Amino acid sequence: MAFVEVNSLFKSYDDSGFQGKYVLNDINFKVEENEFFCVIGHSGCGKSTLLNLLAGFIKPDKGEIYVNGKLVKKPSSQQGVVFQDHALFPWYNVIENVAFGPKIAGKKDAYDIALRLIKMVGLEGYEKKFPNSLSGGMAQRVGIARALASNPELLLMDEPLGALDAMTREKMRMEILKIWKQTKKTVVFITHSIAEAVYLADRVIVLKDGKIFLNQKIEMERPRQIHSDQFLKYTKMLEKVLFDSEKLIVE
Amino acid sequence: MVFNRTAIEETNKKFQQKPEKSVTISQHKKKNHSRSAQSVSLIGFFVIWQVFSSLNAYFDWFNPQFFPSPLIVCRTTWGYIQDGTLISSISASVIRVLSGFVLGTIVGVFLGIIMARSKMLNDLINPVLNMLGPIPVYAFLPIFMIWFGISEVSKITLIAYATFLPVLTYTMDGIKNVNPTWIRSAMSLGANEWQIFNKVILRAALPNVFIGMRISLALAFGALIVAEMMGSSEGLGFIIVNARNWFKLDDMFMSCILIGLLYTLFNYILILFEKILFRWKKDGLQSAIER
Ligand SMILES: Nc1ncnc2c1ncn2[C@@H]1O[C@H](COP(=O)(O)OP(=O)(O)OP(=O)(O)O)[C@@H](O)[C@H]1O
Ligand SMILES: [Mg+2]
Repeated sequence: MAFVEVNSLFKSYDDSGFQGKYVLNDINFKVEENEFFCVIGHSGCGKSTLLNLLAGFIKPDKGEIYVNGKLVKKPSSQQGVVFQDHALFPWYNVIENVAFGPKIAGKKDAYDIALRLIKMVGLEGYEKKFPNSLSGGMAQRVGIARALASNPELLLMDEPLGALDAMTREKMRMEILKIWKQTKKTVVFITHSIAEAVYLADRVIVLKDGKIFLNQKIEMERPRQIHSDQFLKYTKMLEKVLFDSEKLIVE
Repeated sequence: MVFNRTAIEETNKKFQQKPEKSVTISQHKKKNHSRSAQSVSLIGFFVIWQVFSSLNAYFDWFNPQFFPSPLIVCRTTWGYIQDGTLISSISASVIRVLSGFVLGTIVGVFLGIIMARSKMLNDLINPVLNMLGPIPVYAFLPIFMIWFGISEVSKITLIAYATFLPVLTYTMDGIKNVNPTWIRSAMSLGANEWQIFNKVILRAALPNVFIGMRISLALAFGALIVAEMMGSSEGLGFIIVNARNWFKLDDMFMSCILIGLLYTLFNYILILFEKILFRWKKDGLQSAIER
């Protein structure tokens, strides 16, 4: 069994979900352990819905999700989540935010864990700052540290870089790759940037109209050269699926 | 509902504050300007009052006893200080308003939490509150006096009743409007229901509770004075009704000014609490810059 298994997943938001108005319509995929897994698709195609299902925040109409062999029924510290708008607790400072998970788990060294992770995301010296005084990129790094602090087996990231400017984004991509290599987590990463997906992912799925249109392994050495032919080949492939899908529907 | 102007102004001010950490010289000047303008306004008020009543005493437009000057009010106050009634009146009023305010706040927060948590209780209690809410609290005083007698209980009950409704409304509102992603992040960090409530929902709603308290404070003072005017033998409200019987307007003026000062002091203490408790908010406004 793969690390994450999603089996014929259906989800609709109307109570009258029978009329085929599924946001997610028969989704199947597997994520291997330690894999960097990207989900890409246009706005409103159901990416966040998929992630919320993986996190256990919402329940599928049909189908199951298994993480490490266990059926996902409700949120737990085994599925760490990084939110698009960082969702830090504004009344806690940086270190209290990061230590939230370990403290709740009753760990005595919660603050040591937090300190180590704050160091890892490069925010040493900001421990006592409140989230409102951090920049978007800094807040997002705190969000990542906070999710890592409860040592989840699966890290779910919903467009964590969506609100950042291009330059910070690029820096953060490398940062995330570094953290991923260090922590050896399995990552499900949502994005709507093709380049980001090709740069980061071991495997990409393209979500469109509630279905998976492509499930592609990206086989390239890291660090990836964004101007290399191979990189462009993958980018074109994803573009094609994302933008001229009529053909695919006909086929 | 009487809205507390200072509370609203303070809230507005918070949002208007420029998020600058290093206050420049020009800003310092601006601040000083506004400070001095404010003191000029207060001093001017008393000066004009003094001048007007002196003119009245001189030209005899109307009986000067009906418009005592600030100096006369000061002299009267000195008399009250000397025979000890000032201290006893103020402490009687402060004890009443504090007990009522604290009691009303506790009940308001508690009911607010329960009603925000349970849809059924909300449906049960809300219609009654909607019906009772618009009735001026003062209308209940005679009823309370028959129920509880002309005692401290009836006065404190009235003050608590005046306090509790805004606190309840704002508490409920705060709890209902907690950002759902905060709750989600707490869940995915392993928090159980009690922890989510305690560490996220309450913390997020607390600023709202304080807004409710600031609005209630003005209502509590209103209730205090009315209650003291209608049935008591000491307190600032009592001084007013008692003085009416003897046309002692200077005593009335003194009492009114003292009420204003007391309210300002209490409001200031609340604001101080907010500043300390909600440092995280201020920090955001004052230093929202990349470093
Ligand atoms: N709570 C909800 N209630 C009803 N409909 C919803 C809800 N959440 C999402 N939807 C609908 O489901 C669809 C998919 O939404 P979702 O948030 O998953 O999109 P997304 O791919 O994450 O988009 P974006 O890239 O803009 O974040 C949308 O059409 C949206 O209107
Ligand atoms: Mg989304």
